[in-house]
Amino acid sequence: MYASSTAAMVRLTTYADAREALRHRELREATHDEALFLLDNTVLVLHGDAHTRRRRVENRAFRRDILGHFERDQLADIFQETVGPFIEQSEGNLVEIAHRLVMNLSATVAGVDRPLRTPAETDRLYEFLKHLSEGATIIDSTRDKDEVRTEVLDALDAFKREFYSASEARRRALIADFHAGTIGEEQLPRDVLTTLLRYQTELGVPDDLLPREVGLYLVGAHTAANQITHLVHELLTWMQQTGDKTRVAAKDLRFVQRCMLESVRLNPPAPSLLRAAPDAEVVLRTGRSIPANALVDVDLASANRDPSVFGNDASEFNPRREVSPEVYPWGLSFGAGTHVCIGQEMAAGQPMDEDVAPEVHLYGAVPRLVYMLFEHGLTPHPERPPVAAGHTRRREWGEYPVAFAR
Amino acid sequence: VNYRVAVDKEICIGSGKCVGHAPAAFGFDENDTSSPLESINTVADATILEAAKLCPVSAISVFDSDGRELFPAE
Repeated sequence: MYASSTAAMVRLTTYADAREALRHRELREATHDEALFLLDNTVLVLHGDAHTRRRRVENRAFRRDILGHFERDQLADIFQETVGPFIEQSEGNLVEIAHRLVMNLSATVAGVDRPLRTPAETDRLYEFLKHLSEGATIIDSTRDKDEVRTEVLDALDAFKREFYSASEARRRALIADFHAGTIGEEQLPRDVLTTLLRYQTELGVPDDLLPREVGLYLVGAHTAANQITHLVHELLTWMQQTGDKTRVAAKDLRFVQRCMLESVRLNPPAPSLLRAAPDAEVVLRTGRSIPANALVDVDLASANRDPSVFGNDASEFNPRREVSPEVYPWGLSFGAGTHVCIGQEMAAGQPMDEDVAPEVHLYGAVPRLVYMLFEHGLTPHPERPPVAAGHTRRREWGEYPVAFAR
Repeated sequence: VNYRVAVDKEICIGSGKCVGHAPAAFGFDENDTSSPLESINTVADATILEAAKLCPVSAISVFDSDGRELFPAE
């Protein structure tokens, strides 16, 4: 038995308590309990052995060789296809650009085909992304929640009709060809949907779960897209404050990655994560008690600014910050424990390692895309200032106008 | 290399963070869980310890040559 909605709430604000709670095997993931109308039985909300089995299979789509292929071979094409029209116009809304960029990338990773590869098709998929994202983060929505739920379920049905069904059918046919020996394994897509279809029986995944599970990876695009806008904002502010008029900072990809890790620490995709206690008390190593059946609010925004871990300037953006080897430079923004973000390396790359050659290091999609944006002369829009998002309690931008040098 | 490692296969989620950080030390077995490779003996102790610390579920334990647990040691 786990906590109900009327359970006592315990808020954890220190890095040590938050980290331990996220890794604690007795504390169940509860962040998305309000979003079960969309996420029930998906990997995001499973617990225990069922979660571990599903996660091991889905992790196959995020292995280093696949991520390296995306970063080095596919990202530039997706950038050109998506950002090209905005560069032609010399301006655009970075929030929209970032969502389209990461969405197109995530569709590839998830296994959602975009047969037309037109801006109109991208716009349509982007509409689904917005609805599914709002559904998954309904806990933080400031809108009428019944209205949100209706919109989200309608969007899910349309997503199935317009994108998912054909993507599934194509992969099932390829898998059948593979089993018949007419194609080799290397000809199968290495995306989440193909992986799930190949192991569907073994995992016990019902057909009606598949589009929601795959849609989840589009939702992941929402958080990565927000990080692009946050990182651009932090970099622009940093360069202005340090008098970096020639914008040297944005020309060093390794430094851009460091900036991303610092930016994501200050701007965690979710301000807090919830965990539910079992029907017995849990005591953390610091002595903090979590009563039986309590809900645990793991306050990432506070934990990531814990001065005992990140220093007295913990609330400031400092990409040259040094932290203990025991501490993640990105704080707990990607979570920890069994529900750690599956797309962390895809978005943020691998930790810095001076022994790894630059050509094989994974910098992550977000740093690489931001680097490319600056390569095309991104500057703040001269007339239109950025505006914060109004529909959520999360720290997000609603509009971030930018200009490009032609 | 002086360190020894043990992977708890029950809790490993196959995140691949150890494989990504130390590809000569860790690989995936047939169940998609992390598995130490024979070539782990060629990998620096510090790299092995770093890989263990990256594991999101602390599935990798690292021991020194005297058998003392260095990580997670909680």
